[in-house]
Amino acid sequence: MTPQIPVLNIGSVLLVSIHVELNDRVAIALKTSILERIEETWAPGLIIDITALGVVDSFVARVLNETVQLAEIMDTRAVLVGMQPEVAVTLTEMGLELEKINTAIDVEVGLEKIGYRLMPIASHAEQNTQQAEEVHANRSHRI
Amino acid sequence: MARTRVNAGDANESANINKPDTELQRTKNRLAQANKDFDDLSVPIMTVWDGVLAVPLIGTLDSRRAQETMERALLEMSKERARVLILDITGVPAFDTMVAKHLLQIATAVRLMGGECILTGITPATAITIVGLGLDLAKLNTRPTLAQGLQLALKMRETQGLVR
Repeated sequence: MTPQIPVLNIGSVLLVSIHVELNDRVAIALKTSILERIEETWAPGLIIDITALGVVDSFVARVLNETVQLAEIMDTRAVLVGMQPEVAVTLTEMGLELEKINTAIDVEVGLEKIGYRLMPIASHAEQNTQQAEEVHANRSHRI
Repeated sequence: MARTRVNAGDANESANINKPDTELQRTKNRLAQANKDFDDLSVPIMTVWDGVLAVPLIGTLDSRRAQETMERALLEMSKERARVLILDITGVPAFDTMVAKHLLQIATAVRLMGGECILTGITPATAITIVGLGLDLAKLNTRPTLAQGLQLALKMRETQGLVR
Protein backbone atom coordinates (compact mmCIF):
# COMPACT_ATOMS: atom_id res chain seq x y z
CA MET A 1 0.00 0.00 0.00
CA THR A 2 1.35 3.39 -0.96
CA PRO A 3 2.16 5.12 2.36
CA GLN A 4 0.34 8.36 1.65
CA ILE A 5 -2.70 6.94 -0.12
CA PRO A 6 -4.92 4.51 1.79
CA VAL A 7 -7.05 2.00 -0.06
CA LEU A 8 -10.30 1.70 1.84
CA ASN A 9 -13.18 -0.73 1.64
CA ILE A 10 -16.86 -0.05 1.27
CA GLY A 11 -18.03 -3.61 1.67
CA SER A 12 -15.81 -5.34 -0.84
CA VAL A 13 -15.61 -2.32 -3.14
CA LEU A 14 -12.25 -0.56 -3.05
CA LEU A 15 -12.24 3.18 -2.51
CA VAL A 16 -9.09 5.17 -3.18
CA SER A 17 -9.41 8.84 -2.34
CA ILE A 18 -6.32 10.77 -3.38
CA HIS A 19 -5.45 13.74 -1.20
CA VAL A 20 -1.79 14.22 -2.02
CA GLU A 21 -0.25 15.67 -5.12
CA LEU A 22 0.71 12.84 -7.44
CA ASN A 23 4.12 12.80 -8.98
CA ASP A 24 5.08 10.16 -11.54
CA ARG A 25 6.62 7.81 -9.00
CA VAL A 26 3.71 7.92 -6.56
CA ALA A 27 1.19 7.48 -9.39
CA ILE A 28 2.91 4.32 -10.59
CA ALA A 29 3.24 3.00 -7.04
CA LEU A 30 -0.46 3.63 -6.50
CA LYS A 31 -1.41 1.81 -9.68
CA THR A 32 0.70 -1.18 -8.64
CA SER A 33 -0.74 -1.35 -5.14
CA ILE A 34 -4.32 -1.05 -6.39
CA LEU A 35 -3.88 -3.84 -8.91
CA GLU A 36 -2.16 -6.04 -6.31
CA ARG A 37 -5.03 -5.43 -3.91
CA ILE A 38 -7.53 -6.39 -6.61
CA GLU A 39 -5.58 -9.55 -7.30
CA GLU A 40 -5.56 -10.41 -3.57
CA THR A 41 -9.19 -9.67 -2.85
CA TRP A 42 -10.95 -10.10 -6.22
CA ALA A 43 -12.73 -6.86 -5.40
CA PRO A 44 -15.89 -6.47 -7.48
CA GLY A 45 -15.53 -2.70 -7.63
CA LEU A 46 -12.99 0.12 -7.59
CA ILE A 47 -13.57 3.82 -7.12
CA ILE A 48 -10.71 6.26 -7.63
CA ASP A 49 -11.66 9.64 -6.21
CA ILE A 50 -9.71 12.67 -7.43
CA THR A 51 -11.97 15.36 -5.97
CA ALA A 52 -9.04 16.79 -4.02
CA LEU A 53 -6.72 17.06 -7.01
CA GLY A 54 -6.56 20.55 -8.48
CA VAL A 55 -3.86 19.56 -10.92
CA VAL A 56 -3.45 16.40 -12.94
CA ASP A 57 -0.70 16.28 -15.54
CA SER A 58 -0.79 14.15 -18.66
CA PHE A 59 1.37 11.38 -17.23
CA VAL A 60 -0.73 11.00 -14.09
CA ALA A 61 -3.89 11.13 -16.18
CA ARG A 62 -2.60 8.27 -18.31
CA VAL A 63 -1.65 6.21 -15.25
CA LEU A 64 -5.10 6.70 -13.72
CA ASN A 65 -6.66 5.82 -17.06
CA GLU A 66 -4.59 2.64 -17.25
CA THR A 67 -5.40 1.69 -13.67
CA VAL A 68 -9.12 1.89 -14.32
CA GLN A 69 -8.86 -0.03 -17.59
CA LEU A 70 -6.65 -2.74 -16.12
CA ALA A 71 -9.05 -3.13 -13.20
CA GLU A 72 -11.88 -3.68 -15.68
CA ILE A 73 -9.78 -6.29 -17.46
CA MET A 74 -9.46 -8.03 -14.09
CA ASP A 75 -13.27 -8.08 -13.88
CA THR A 76 -13.46 -5.25 -11.39
CA ARG A 77 -16.01 -2.56 -12.26
CA ALA A 78 -14.02 0.65 -11.99
CA VAL A 79 -14.84 4.35 -12.09
CA LEU A 80 -12.91 7.60 -11.82
CA VAL A 81 -14.84 10.18 -9.82
CA GLY A 82 -14.66 13.79 -8.77
CA MET A 83 -12.61 15.34 -11.53
CA GLN A 84 -12.42 19.08 -10.93
CA PRO A 85 -13.51 21.51 -13.68
CA GLU A 86 -10.02 22.97 -14.20
CA VAL A 87 -8.58 19.48 -14.58
CA ALA A 88 -11.30 18.51 -17.06
CA VAL A 89 -10.60 21.62 -19.12
CA THR A 90 -6.84 20.99 -19.13
CA LEU A 91 -7.13 17.33 -20.10
CA THR A 92 -9.60 18.20 -22.85
CA GLU A 93 -7.23 20.80 -24.24
CA MET A 94 -4.42 18.23 -24.16
CA GLY A 95 -6.61 15.86 -26.13
CA LEU A 96 -6.80 13.32 -23.30
CA GLU A 97 -10.40 12.27 -23.52
CA LEU A 98 -10.19 9.09 -21.42
CA GLU A 99 -13.22 7.88 -23.29
CA LYS A 100 -12.80 4.20 -22.45
CA ILE A 101 -13.30 4.58 -18.70
CA ASN A 102 -16.33 5.22 -16.52
CA THR A 103 -16.45 8.59 -14.84
CA ALA A 104 -18.78 10.11 -12.27
CA ILE A 105 -19.20 13.37 -10.46
CA ASP A 106 -18.78 11.96 -6.95
CA VAL A 107 -18.38 8.75 -4.94
CA GLU A 108 -22.12 8.20 -4.53
CA VAL A 109 -22.88 8.42 -8.24
CA GLY A 110 -19.73 6.42 -8.93
CA LEU A 111 -21.03 3.60 -6.75
CA GLU A 112 -24.26 3.58 -8.73
CA LYS A 113 -22.43 3.41 -12.02
CA ILE A 114 -20.64 0.26 -10.90
CA GLY A 115 -23.82 -1.32 -9.64
CA TYR A 116 -24.21 -0.39 -5.98
CA ARG A 117 -26.53 1.91 -4.10
CA LEU A 118 -26.31 3.27 -0.59
CA MET A 119 -29.57 2.63 1.23
CA PRO A 120 -30.64 3.82 4.65
CA ILE A 121 -31.43 0.97 6.98
CA ALA A 122 -35.23 0.58 7.05
CA SER A 123 -37.02 1.19 10.35
CA HIS A 124 -37.99 -1.94 12.34
CA ALA A 125 -41.66 -1.66 11.41
CA GLU A 126 -40.85 -1.58 7.72
CA GLN A 127 -38.33 -4.39 7.83
CA ASN A 128 -40.99 -7.10 7.97
CA THR A 129 -42.71 -5.96 4.84
CA GLN A 130 -39.86 -4.53 2.83
CA GLN A 131 -36.84 -6.11 1.22
CA ALA A 132 -33.69 -4.07 0.74
CA GLU A 133 -33.38 -3.06 -2.90
CA GLU A 134 -30.83 -4.76 -5.08
CA VAL A 135 -29.62 -2.85 -8.01
CA HIS A 136 -29.50 -5.02 -11.09
CA ALA A 137 -25.88 -5.76 -11.76
CA ASN A 138 -23.79 -8.58 -13.13
CA ARG A 139 -23.19 -9.74 -9.60
CA SER A 140 -25.81 -9.44 -6.91
CA HIS A 141 -23.50 -8.16 -4.22
CA ARG A 142 -24.71 -6.15 -1.27
CA ILE A 143 -22.78 -3.57 0.62
CA MET B 1 22.04 75.12 -29.27
CA ALA B 2 20.27 73.04 -26.74
CA ARG B 3 17.40 71.04 -28.00
CA THR B 4 14.46 70.68 -25.74
CA ARG B 5 12.54 67.47 -25.99
CA VAL B 6 8.81 67.84 -25.84
CA ASN B 7 7.04 64.74 -24.74
CA ALA B 8 3.69 63.98 -26.29
CA GLY B 9 2.41 63.39 -22.78
CA ASP B 10 3.02 66.96 -21.77
CA ALA B 11 0.77 68.25 -24.52
CA ASN B 12 -1.98 65.81 -23.58
CA GLU B 13 -1.74 66.70 -19.94
CA SER B 14 -2.22 70.38 -20.58
CA ALA B 15 -5.08 69.68 -22.99
CA ASN B 16 -6.85 67.42 -20.47
CA ILE B 17 -6.26 69.65 -17.57
CA ASN B 18 -9.97 69.69 -16.80
CA LYS B 19 -10.36 65.86 -17.00
CA PRO B 20 -8.70 64.12 -14.07
CA ASP B 21 -7.35 60.55 -14.51
CA THR B 22 -9.81 59.17 -11.98
CA GLU B 23 -12.78 59.94 -14.23
CA LEU B 24 -11.13 58.17 -17.15
CA GLN B 25 -10.42 55.27 -14.86
CA ARG B 26 -14.01 55.21 -13.66
CA THR B 27 -15.25 55.11 -17.24
CA LYS B 28 -12.88 52.26 -17.98
CA ASN B 29 -14.14 50.37 -14.94
CA ARG B 30 -17.75 50.86 -15.98
CA LEU B 31 -16.94 49.58 -19.44
CA ALA B 32 -15.20 46.53 -18.03
CA GLN B 33 -18.14 45.82 -15.75
CA ALA B 34 -20.59 46.25 -18.63
CA ASN B 35 -18.59 43.77 -20.69
CA LYS B 36 -18.61 41.32 -17.84
CA ASP B 37 -22.37 41.73 -17.32
CA PHE B 38 -22.89 41.14 -21.01
CA ASP B 39 -20.83 37.97 -20.84
CA ASP B 40 -22.76 36.73 -17.81
CA LEU B 41 -26.09 37.48 -19.43
CA SER B 42 -25.12 35.85 -22.67
CA VAL B 43 -24.26 32.56 -20.98
CA PRO B 44 -27.09 31.81 -18.60
CA ILE B 45 -26.78 28.37 -17.04
CA MET B 46 -30.05 27.05 -15.69
CA THR B 47 -30.86 24.07 -13.52
CA VAL B 48 -33.94 22.74 -15.29
CA TRP B 49 -34.22 19.54 -13.31
CA ASP B 50 -32.48 17.83 -10.44
CA GLY B 51 -29.06 17.12 -11.86
CA VAL B 52 -29.82 18.59 -15.29
CA LEU B 53 -28.37 21.87 -16.54
CA ALA B 54 -29.37 23.76 -19.67
CA VAL B 55 -27.34 26.42 -21.46
CA PRO B 56 -29.06 28.36 -24.23
CA LEU B 57 -26.23 29.72 -26.35
CA ILE B 58 -27.10 33.04 -27.94
CA GLY B 59 -24.99 34.80 -30.52
CA THR B 60 -21.81 33.85 -32.30
CA LEU B 61 -19.76 31.27 -30.49
CA ASP B 62 -16.19 32.44 -30.81
CA SER B 63 -13.23 30.88 -28.99
CA ARG B 64 -13.44 33.24 -26.05
CA ARG B 65 -17.15 32.74 -25.44
CA ALA B 66 -16.83 29.01 -25.96
CA GLN B 67 -14.08 28.87 -23.36
CA GLU B 68 -16.13 30.97 -20.97
CA THR B 69 -19.20 28.79 -21.52
CA MET B 70 -17.20 25.65 -20.89
CA GLU B 71 -15.63 26.92 -17.68
CA ARG B 72 -18.86 28.26 -16.25
CA ALA B 73 -20.86 25.19 -17.23
CA LEU B 74 -18.33 22.87 -15.61
CA LEU B 75 -18.25 24.95 -12.43
CA GLU B 76 -22.01 24.83 -12.25
CA MET B 77 -21.93 21.07 -12.90
CA SER B 78 -19.60 20.66 -9.98
CA LYS B 79 -21.74 22.82 -7.70
CA GLU B 80 -25.06 21.22 -8.63
CA ARG B 81 -23.79 17.66 -8.93
CA ALA B 82 -25.34 17.75 -12.39
CA ARG B 83 -25.14 14.71 -14.61
CA VAL B 84 -26.58 16.09 -17.83
CA LEU B 85 -25.77 19.32 -19.64
CA ILE B 86 -28.10 20.43 -22.42
CA LEU B 87 -26.53 22.85 -24.89
CA ASP B 88 -29.10 24.64 -26.99
CA ILE B 89 -27.77 26.28 -30.15
CA THR B 90 -31.02 27.67 -31.54
CA GLY B 91 -29.61 31.15 -30.99
CA VAL B 92 -26.27 30.53 -32.64
CA PRO B 93 -26.52 32.08 -36.11
CA ALA B 94 -23.56 30.55 -37.91
CA PHE B 95 -22.55 26.95 -37.45
CA ASP B 96 -19.09 26.14 -38.68
CA THR B 97 -16.13 23.87 -37.98
CA MET B 98 -14.92 26.03 -35.09
CA VAL B 99 -18.32 25.99 -33.40
CA ALA B 100 -18.46 22.21 -33.79
CA LYS B 101 -14.98 21.89 -32.31
CA HIS B 102 -15.94 24.03 -29.32
CA LEU B 103 -19.10 22.03 -28.69
CA LEU B 104 -17.19 18.75 -28.87
CA GLN B 105 -14.66 20.13 -26.40
CA ILE B 106 -17.39 21.06 -23.96
CA ALA B 107 -18.92 17.60 -24.35
CA THR B 108 -15.55 15.95 -23.69
CA ALA B 109 -14.92 17.97 -20.55
CA VAL B 110 -18.44 17.22 -19.31
CA ARG B 111 -17.88 13.52 -19.87
CA LEU B 112 -14.58 13.60 -17.98
CA MET B 113 -16.53 14.91 -15.01
CA GLY B 114 -18.96 12.03 -15.31
CA GLY B 115 -21.74 13.83 -17.13
CA GLU B 116 -23.43 13.62 -20.50
CA CYS B 117 -24.01 16.39 -23.04
CA ILE B 118 -27.11 16.81 -25.17
CA LEU B 119 -27.07 19.20 -28.12
CA THR B 120 -30.43 20.71 -28.99
CA GLY B 121 -31.72 23.34 -31.38
CA ILE B 122 -30.19 22.05 -34.58
CA THR B 123 -32.26 23.57 -37.37
CA PRO B 124 -32.59 21.90 -40.78
CA ALA B 125 -30.24 24.54 -42.18
CA THR B 126 -27.66 23.77 -39.48
CA ALA B 127 -28.03 20.04 -40.14
CA ILE B 128 -27.33 20.60 -43.82
CA THR B 129 -24.28 22.71 -42.92
CA ILE B 130 -22.97 20.00 -40.61
CA VAL B 131 -23.33 17.32 -43.25
CA GLY B 132 -21.90 19.62 -45.90
CA LEU B 133 -18.82 20.32 -43.79
CA GLY B 134 -18.40 16.61 -43.19
CA LEU B 135 -18.39 17.11 -39.43
CA ASP B 136 -18.54 14.04 -37.26
CA LEU B 137 -20.82 14.77 -34.36
CA ALA B 138 -21.47 11.10 -33.63
CA LYS B 139 -20.14 11.54 -30.12
CA LEU B 140 -22.85 14.03 -29.28
CA ASN B 141 -26.40 13.21 -28.30
CA THR B 142 -28.70 15.47 -30.27
CA ARG B 143 -32.36 16.38 -30.14
CA PRO B 144 -34.29 18.92 -32.19
CA THR B 145 -35.73 20.90 -29.31
CA LEU B 146 -34.84 21.76 -25.74
CA ALA B 147 -38.00 19.98 -24.58
CA GLN B 148 -36.99 16.74 -26.26
CA GLY B 149 -33.48 17.21 -24.91
CA LEU B 150 -34.97 17.38 -21.43
CA GLN B 151 -36.95 14.20 -22.07
CA LEU B 152 -33.74 12.42 -23.01
CA ALA B 153 -32.00 13.87 -19.97
CA LEU B 154 -34.66 12.45 -17.65
CA LYS B 155 -34.39 9.05 -19.33
CA MET B 156 -30.62 9.14 -18.89
CA ARG B 157 -31.07 9.82 -15.21
CA GLU B 158 -33.35 6.84 -14.87
CA THR B 159 -31.09 4.36 -16.61
CA GLN B 160 -28.14 5.49 -14.55
CA GLY B 161 -30.18 4.94 -11.45
CA LEU B 162 -29.86 8.40 -10.05
CA VAL B 163 -31.78 8.59 -6.81
CA ARG B 164 -31.23 11.33 -4.30
